[in-house]
Amino acid sequence: MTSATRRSGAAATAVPVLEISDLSVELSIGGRWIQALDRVGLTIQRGEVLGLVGESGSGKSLTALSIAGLLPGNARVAGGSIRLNGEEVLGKSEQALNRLRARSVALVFQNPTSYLNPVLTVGAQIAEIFELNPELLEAAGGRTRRREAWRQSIEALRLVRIPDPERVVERYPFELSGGMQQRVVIAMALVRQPDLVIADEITTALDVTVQAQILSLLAELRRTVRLTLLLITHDMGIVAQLADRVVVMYSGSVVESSDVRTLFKSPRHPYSKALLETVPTIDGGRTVFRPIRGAMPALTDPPAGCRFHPRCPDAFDQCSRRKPERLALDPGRVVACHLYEGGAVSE
Amino acid sequence: MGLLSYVARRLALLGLVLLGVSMVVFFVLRGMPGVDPLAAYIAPGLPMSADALASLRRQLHLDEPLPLQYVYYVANLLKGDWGYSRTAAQPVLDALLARLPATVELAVAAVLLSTALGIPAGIVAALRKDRAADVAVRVVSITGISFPVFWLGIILQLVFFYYMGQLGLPTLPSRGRIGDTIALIDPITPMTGLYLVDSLLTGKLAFFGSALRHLVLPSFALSLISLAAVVRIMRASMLEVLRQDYILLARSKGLPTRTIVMRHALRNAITPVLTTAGTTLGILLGGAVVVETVFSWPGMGNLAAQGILNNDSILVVGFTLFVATMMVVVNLVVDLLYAVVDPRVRY
Ligand SMILES: Nc1ncnc2c1ncn2[C@@H]1O[C@H](COP(=O)(O)OP(=O)(O)OP(=O)(O)O)[C@@H](O)[C@H]1O
Ligand code: SF4
Ligand SMILES: [Mg+2]
Repeated sequence: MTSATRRSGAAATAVPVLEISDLSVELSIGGRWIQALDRVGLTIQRGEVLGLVGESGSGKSLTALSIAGLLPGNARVAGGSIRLNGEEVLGKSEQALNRLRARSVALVFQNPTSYLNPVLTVGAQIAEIFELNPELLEAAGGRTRRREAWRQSIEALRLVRIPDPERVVERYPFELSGGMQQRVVIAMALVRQPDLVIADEITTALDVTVQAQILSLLAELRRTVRLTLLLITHDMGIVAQLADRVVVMYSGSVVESSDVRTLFKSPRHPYSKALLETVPTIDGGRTVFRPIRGAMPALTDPPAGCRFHPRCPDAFDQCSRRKPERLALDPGRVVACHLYEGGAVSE
Repeated sequence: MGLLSYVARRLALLGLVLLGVSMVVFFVLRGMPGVDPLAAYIAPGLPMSADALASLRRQLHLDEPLPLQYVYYVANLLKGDWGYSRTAAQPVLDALLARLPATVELAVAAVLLSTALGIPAGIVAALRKDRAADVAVRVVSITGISFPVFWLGIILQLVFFYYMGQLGLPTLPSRGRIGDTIALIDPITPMTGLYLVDSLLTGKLAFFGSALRHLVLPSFALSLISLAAVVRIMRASMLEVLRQDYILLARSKGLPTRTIVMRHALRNAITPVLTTAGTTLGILLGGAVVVETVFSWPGMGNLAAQGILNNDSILVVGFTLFVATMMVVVNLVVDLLYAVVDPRVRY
């Protein structure tokens, strides 16, 4: 990646940072291979924040892990492609994947307490990233590499607004609050100056006030270090606050993708509509939740046709028979639903 | 709570444990029907008058009720009077202390051997789970534990002393702690009683070499008792740790497997092995009775075995108490070691 393309931003012609197409993943459950992801597709341009939403179990984390080649041992990719800066990730050797993880793709996970190593100091866990990427160390100016890595680790803590980073760098994770721990993990992601940061429900495990702080940190980092972010969440509020575009997943497939404003204004897929209704809305001074009725089908026993049909208020005879194809409705909007076949339906 | 008060509390607990052990051994011994405790104090075959017997019985408080006898017994223990061993022709405590260094040297060598072999084997087995290396490690360690130690000891003697000798190959000594000639012509001044340490301190390398060669077979035989346990626990604990979230985060940094195992997993996985090292020492000291007998090793276990054959109950009880004390002390040391390995542990 040259600096020219780095700067060319979200122009539609630029090579996307991430381009997933038709990604299918299978899981071995009870001795059988079960389809967990069904031809998932999504694209992220440089500097863009893509919200990936869907209920628990819809396949968001599996999608994220595939990008870094970190699928669990009982999972396998059954087809499709994942391109990072135009380069195919699937089929890379473990060594090549390690180089990619060390530099290009950084993950931040849900529960910082369990994702930080309890017996290593914060500094040790950040500084080890420089061992793999010595080119990230600034001109040492007489300092040893070790000390320079330590100094830059402190700077990274400062960047994620950790107070007193010189002290925190010596601390063990258990000595920090959950919010501070998550900032540490974010700092680890940022020191790599990665092409793509994947944030998988990074606020779910935190208190509400801390959630807000982390979200405003992300908003700030978008401006200051121009993050390219895959933001995974099941909270539409977070999507509204941070994302440029949004991909909605249900039961292993993408049901709708669109830019955020359009989706919030006019959701097309019945599942997107239902999901938006679960955003608490203020109604006569009361906060109202409207959860989607029913539950997502088990992977091992998916319904025929459209997987949403048992819960869909708009389902009709086609729905239980055929899988809906993906349809490009307007520019930049894709929906997979029989309602829109022929592109005939409008608001 | 400070370290000192923790140690103080643990030492108080040690007192309680020993009280319990002494109670059990005392009542089992004295409560045995048809056995006159006086028999332990008189030389067989030496006729004594009824008067002399009666006065001896009074002197030893054997005519008092059992609970009171126990009080006398404990009071004597505390004074350092553990009774007189017919077998050693020495006071029990003196006899045990004189043979303690030999047993310590053997047991420590066995613990070192079983951890030095068991920890890497357990790690390899975990990393190669269900593959050839794992199966091989498990088969060997299970076979090791299924054979009685005396039998393994004899096999070792046959192979490394007898058969190798027959073939004119270099052999390993099969009995004793030191070569007879070396002990005669160039003896060491005992300081710690540990031959390896003393010979090094006094710079007697020939003595050191002979002591080391004598240690090989018995310590290996003894280590086999705990080797299987170390392998099994290390493997299970490593597998458990490798499933943890912080290992996934470490992998997502692009760290090579070696770094992940050595830096991120090992320190978390080693604690259960440390825990068992404490209990294992108890098993090893029990095993020392057998191994020391097979290899004519002049330690406490050897003496205790002779005591058993001699009906020298005072000695056997003393040995039991002594081993119990050692186990409690070792467990305390192990608990203190946790704090070194795991920063979360505070006392
Ligand atoms: N290693 C695995 N073995 C078996 N099933 C798995 C495994 N990993 C994921 N799954 C299943 O695959 C489906 C998708 O999982 P995934 O973790 O991607 O969901 P998600 O959208 O991230 O949900 P959440 O919001 O709960 O994190 C779920 O039904 C989950 O139970
Ligand atoms: S395809 Fe049918 S069931 Fe599926 S979302 Fe559309 S209308 Fe509902
Ligand atoms: Mg998830």
